[in-house]
Amino acid sequence: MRLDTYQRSPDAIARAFDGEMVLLNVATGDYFALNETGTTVWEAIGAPATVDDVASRISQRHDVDVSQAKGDVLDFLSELQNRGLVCRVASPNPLTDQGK
Amino acid sequence: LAERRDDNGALLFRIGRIRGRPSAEWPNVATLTFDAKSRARYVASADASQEQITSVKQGLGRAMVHQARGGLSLHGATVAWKGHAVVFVGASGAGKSTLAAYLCARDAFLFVADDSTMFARSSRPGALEVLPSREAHSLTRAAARAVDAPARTAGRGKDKIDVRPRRRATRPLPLAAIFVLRFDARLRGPRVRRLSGTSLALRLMQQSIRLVLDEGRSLRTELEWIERIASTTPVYELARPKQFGQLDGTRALVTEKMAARASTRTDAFANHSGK
Repeated sequence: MRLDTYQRSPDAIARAFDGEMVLLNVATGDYFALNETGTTVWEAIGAPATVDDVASRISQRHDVDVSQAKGDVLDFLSELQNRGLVCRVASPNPLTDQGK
Repeated sequence: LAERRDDNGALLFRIGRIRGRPSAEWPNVATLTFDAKSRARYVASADASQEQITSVKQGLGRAMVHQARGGLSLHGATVAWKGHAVVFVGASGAGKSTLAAYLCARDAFLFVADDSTMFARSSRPGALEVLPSREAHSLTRAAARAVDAPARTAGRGKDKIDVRPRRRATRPLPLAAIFVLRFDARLRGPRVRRLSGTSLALRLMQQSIRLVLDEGRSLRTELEWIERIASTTPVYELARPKQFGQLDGTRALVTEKMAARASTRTDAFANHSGK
């Protein structure tokens, strides 16, 4: 079970255009457009959230299976992380990290 | 911090910082930077011609300074139609200058800017305007022939020639519309569609002229400008085949679009002088 949380990078600013979101990395000048589902992900990480949290929100709003959403959410958050738009905060897992 | 090269790989210009201040350099032409009082200063290269220096100062350099001071500059050619600015943006080679020159050589259009279009806030709340430049149309010789303007040309380089516009705008003009140009070989004639959402935002941001790249404040300002345009101004995609023979059909389509907007949005075309 992954307990890492994701949150918006302080370098990222977002603006809505007709309900669609554009993200701008103010440190690099790169920009990135989100579709409706991507916008839901962005809203879900307004506060630190796990992949499960985000997938659950996607499932509720876009009528997809949670387990199917998890993989897509992880891929998408990884891409945003690579673009400097999202930060991942690794949290110790009390179950798996015991005795390490 | 960034540079731009031509199709042959030659460096056109690069931007960065000199002594901590935003700067741009056009190799063998000039260097732009700011003094301690934030005034723009150009240092000409020894072998630069006055024509080259003037071209930088009146075109890209001026647009960069405008951005550094909190304005928005886009790669785009602009014409005036009935006292309002119609802006054509697009990638290099999308036909911006050629279309603008074609329109200006014909009825009802005035020249406003060729390569760099600068936007400013109007004194009218919420409205935007375009600042006139002192540029000329910069065209290939084939394009100059196609727009029927070779008699007024002057040489500038081996690739492009300057075409002096017949009539030009001399004051800031209210922004009426932006057309994002592209060529599409699959089309038989010009097609226009209204853009919205992220496709509108990204198309404009792709054409942003930046001198300051490394300050968050400057990039936030740019995004705010794009938001302002999206909320006040129709932005269209104008696609057409890459043929000079399409210019007149494109002119007709642009004119038709502007006329339709003028008839339905009288506020955008009303005379606001005195406010």
